[in-house]
Amino acid sequence: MYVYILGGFLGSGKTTLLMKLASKYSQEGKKVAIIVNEAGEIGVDGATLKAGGYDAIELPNGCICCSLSGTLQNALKSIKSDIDPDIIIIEPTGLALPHKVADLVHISMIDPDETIVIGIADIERFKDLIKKKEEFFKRQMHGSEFILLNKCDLAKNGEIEEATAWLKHQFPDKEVIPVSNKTGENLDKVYEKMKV
Amino acid sequence: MFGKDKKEKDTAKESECHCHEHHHHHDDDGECHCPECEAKRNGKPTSIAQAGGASAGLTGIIEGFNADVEARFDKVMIRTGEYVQHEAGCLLGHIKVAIYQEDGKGITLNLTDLDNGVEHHGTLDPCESAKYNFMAAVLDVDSHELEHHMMHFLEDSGIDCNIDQPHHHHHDHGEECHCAECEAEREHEHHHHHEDGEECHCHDHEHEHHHHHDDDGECHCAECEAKRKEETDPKKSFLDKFKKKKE
Repeated sequence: MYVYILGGFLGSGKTTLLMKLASKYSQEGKKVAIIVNEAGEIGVDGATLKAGGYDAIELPNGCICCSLSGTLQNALKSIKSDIDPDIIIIEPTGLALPHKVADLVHISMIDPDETIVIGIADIERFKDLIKKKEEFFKRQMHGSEFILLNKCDLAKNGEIEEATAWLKHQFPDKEVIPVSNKTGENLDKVYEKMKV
Repeated sequence: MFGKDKKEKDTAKESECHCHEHHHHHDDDGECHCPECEAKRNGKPTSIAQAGGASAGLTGIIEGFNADVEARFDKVMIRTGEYVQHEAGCLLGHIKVAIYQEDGKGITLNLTDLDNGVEHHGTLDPCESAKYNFMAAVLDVDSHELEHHMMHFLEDSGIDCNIDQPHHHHHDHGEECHCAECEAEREHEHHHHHEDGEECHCHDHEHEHHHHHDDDGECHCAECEAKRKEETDPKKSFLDKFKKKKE
């Protein structure tokens, strides 16, 4: 069993990627379990996934990396015992620190083959985010296996190169892949990097 | 408050204003696990607090869903985004709406960038009623104010819908809202809830005050208590009271 954690800021495209991955793996006949986390009491992602034909476990009203850490561990144990999936995809809130979620997966006793954090950054608001929350963003990307620079279909001239250079400077050991979850651009490269 | 039994005290407490308090459902341990309380308990800020995040949401039922309602929700989201941009300097976060039926089929509207507008996903045929979830998770705004504005944008939209949880204040006496903005609009009307002895010490009672009183409907501020005592004092004659009143 592999656990994928989609880490990235609010609105970076985590849910869209989640649906693409869930669709891909379901078509391949793999058993996929989904956990979505919302910072507020009212969520939308659960409804979105349901409308798309996916059943997801919703953990609202807090963050699974800190205030809902116990809830996450219980959910993981239940999934393991009740569903025993091939893949668990976790979408934390856009304000979570994904490496902390990965730590919680490790101590939850579900014994996955591997836990992989995929970092997602949004090219459209990259500059604004760096300007206002650079340290937080860096902490979000910190534990990622690789970083997707999403919404590249909306990028202006030179924006992708500029953002990629910044990310490579901050995280020299991480591959940066410009993608568009919407158009599907470069998603084949992402699938290649997946270990399932 | 004095002389009341515990039940009466509890009832009086319920009439207190809970502005800025939170109203989560707690686990069996009786402790609140909201990010704020967890942060207080642990002495560490949550990731949401570290990022300066705020979230708010409304749910309810739309009567008569069609393309017009979808377009109006679009405008509600844009107004919410504009409010966040105005308050925080830029819209960092997302504003989402899901409109769906019992079987889960429905549409999702997503706003992350005001220039690009609202993205619409899925289709939903016109129907007599549909549920909606309307949420925002953004940075650098007050979550209470955010929810308050979202509610007003939705109310002003002309969409025929109800709101399950019209934000988390308890509006006493005629459903008035006691948020900062509404309070500011009501000049000289203050809404303190006094726990100890129900006395008010603001403005020295130079004006008519608007406290929420206990079930007996009387004001227990020092001035009113003294006045009442004087009026009911059997030792004073009618003439004494008349003289005092004339003074």
